[in-house]
Amino acid sequence: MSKTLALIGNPNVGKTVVFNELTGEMGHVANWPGVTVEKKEGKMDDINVVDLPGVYCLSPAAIDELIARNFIIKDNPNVIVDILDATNLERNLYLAFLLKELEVPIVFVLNLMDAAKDRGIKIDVQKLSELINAPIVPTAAIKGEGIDEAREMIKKIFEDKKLAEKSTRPIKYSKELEDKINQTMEILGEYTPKFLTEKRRWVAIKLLEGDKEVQKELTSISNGSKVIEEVKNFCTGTEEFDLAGERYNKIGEIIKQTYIRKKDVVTISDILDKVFLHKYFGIPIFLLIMWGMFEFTFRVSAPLVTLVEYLLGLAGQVFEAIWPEDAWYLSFVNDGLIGGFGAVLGFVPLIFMMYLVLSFLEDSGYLSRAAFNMDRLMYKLGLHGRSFVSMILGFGCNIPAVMSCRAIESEEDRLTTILVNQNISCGARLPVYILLGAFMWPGATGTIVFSLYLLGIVIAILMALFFRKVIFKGEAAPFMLELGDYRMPTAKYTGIHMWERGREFIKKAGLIIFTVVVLLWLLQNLPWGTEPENSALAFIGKLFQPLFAPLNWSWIAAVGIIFGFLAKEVVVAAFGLILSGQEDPEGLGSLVVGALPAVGVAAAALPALVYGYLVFVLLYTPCIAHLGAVYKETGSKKWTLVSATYGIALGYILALIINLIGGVYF
Amino acid sequence: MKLSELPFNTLAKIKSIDKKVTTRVVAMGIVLGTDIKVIRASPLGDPLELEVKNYNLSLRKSVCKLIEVERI
Repeated sequence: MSKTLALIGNPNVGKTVVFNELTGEMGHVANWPGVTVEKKEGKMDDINVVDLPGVYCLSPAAIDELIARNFIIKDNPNVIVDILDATNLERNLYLAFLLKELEVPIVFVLNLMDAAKDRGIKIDVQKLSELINAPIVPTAAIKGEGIDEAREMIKKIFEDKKLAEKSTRPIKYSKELEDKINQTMEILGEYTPKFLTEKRRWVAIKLLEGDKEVQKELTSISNGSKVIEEVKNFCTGTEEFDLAGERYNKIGEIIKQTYIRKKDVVTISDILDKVFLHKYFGIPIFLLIMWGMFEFTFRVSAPLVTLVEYLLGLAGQVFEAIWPEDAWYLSFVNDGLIGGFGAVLGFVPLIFMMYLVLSFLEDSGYLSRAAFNMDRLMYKLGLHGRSFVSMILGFGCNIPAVMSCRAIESEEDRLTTILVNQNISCGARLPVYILLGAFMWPGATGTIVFSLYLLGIVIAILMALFFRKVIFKGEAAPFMLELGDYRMPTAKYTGIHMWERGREFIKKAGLIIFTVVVLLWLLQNLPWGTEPENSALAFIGKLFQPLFAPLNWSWIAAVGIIFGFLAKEVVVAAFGLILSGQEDPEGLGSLVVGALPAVGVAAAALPALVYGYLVFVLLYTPCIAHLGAVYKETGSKKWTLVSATYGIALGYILALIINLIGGVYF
Repeated sequence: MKLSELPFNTLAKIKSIDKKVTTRVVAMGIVLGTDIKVIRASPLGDPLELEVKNYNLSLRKSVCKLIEVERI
């Protein structure tokens, strides 16, 4: 029989670290069936370890909480391991109590003991374990402390029936509530079949709370509605709050006996918050951090990008020297692979650096501060903090960002957040900005790129306002956000985090982009032996060019846009391929800028044309996979079409306006 | 008084909670009789940062209006 262990805990308790330390691997990331909340699985010896979403409670209102809860009820894991934050035990015990109600064998891992010790917190683990009827293992997972003990305890509970049974014993509540629970259990016992009798106490508690999901399940079986009716008859309607209050009462009693905390210690987090959340400085600092994030990304990755480009150039020269000049494979390797695919490869260090900074921000705890600072703005747009987090994720890639919207409760919020996310500049668009920006504005590339990101944010905000006030009217979902302690991200986990993101990019580059580049190379060389000007690719470019004639774009510019629809990395690849025959000491950027206008423009107006082009790249559909994600998440052709058309239309109009202002036509 | 009206850094106790407050907010420790403090408002005035159950939680004023507190 296979053994399954479910790992659960509040967000930010180091669950990922515990998972990695227990299983010794990064885990396979997949999605939960039917939904796109991340699912991680790994192995600890012969035990399957399933990482459940980080949650505060198990209400049916949010999809991640429902996933966690349904897994425990329906997939019947043999053991639950709940990770507790030792620095914030009181609130963490709430989820522990909810889990205890499920009466499944459970082990608690009391993590972050090192941080607790630093703060002068003392916990009587032995006593705590007695009071909640379950084994507890103290750990400092990030240092690897206590992991062996945790592993041993987990194995023990799988084998030791007595220990397992003991850990399933419920914590008793006040007499008044216990009476109500018992009464409900009796009613349930009279009517319901087996699947609900197994966790009868839990079902009873949920019925008292008026839990919609359990009620729904009950109504689907005979007599189920009768049970709900009878329970409602003796309920006062305050049971939900009463139960929550009682859980916290019990927790308070336990804390009093086991937890000693020095009064009013001023923590580093408190001091940092005085700065980062300051009434006047908070928002300027937020903008400064965002700007610094881009500056850092560019400056640090610049030498690496140069190095990759140098190595690719060297490889090209080697092939030129060893292969016959007119061999088709020389053209394929040098123009197609090195010129096209290599142009994308050159940006890998940049994208990794971007992911590194994002991972650092995420792991440090600053992102929740950013959400706190910006929530008012989000609220005005009818959105909330979660939307903001999905926007930040969009800086990496719009696809997971669109998927992360699953965690948003209200349908109006969710659709709006999905539809505006495409305006957030993802990592794939960055190479285009850099390629053109570095040549056009050599001293101010960072600022120009930053302005594009900012424009994307502004457009996202305006579109959110439009969608929310005109199309999806309705109340915004409530906002709640934990402002947890800042943590110094460790090199190891920031690295893992960055790698998990970067891996996706490499996969994409390897499959989609490679295929498209090969296709582009073929088109460029057909009919065989032709000049680039007369190739099939040029034919396609010239076919679409009239569409962009009002913007004064050449057929090469058109090719970039048309194939960029598949993936933004292809824009750079297409330029690299088409222009690979030409030499320019100033590099590809110079060639591309020269090739963009259809009709010559004055030198003074060239920046406007280039900027307009970049704005179009920013605003139209990020990639075909993004449209796929929008379709999957909205389940609607209409909204997918809206997503594509409004992006293209906005990009076109803005590029036109920029051209007009910049004097491209005069 | 309402939690949204409580002056910053003043200790209070939760007296009553409107039924409109959701389970998920209650689960964060917003229960009757709990000590609570408003630490600060966001730079744009909303949401508020609260201290409850020895940790910091942020809620919007619209929710804080539904929570009655008494200074202690």
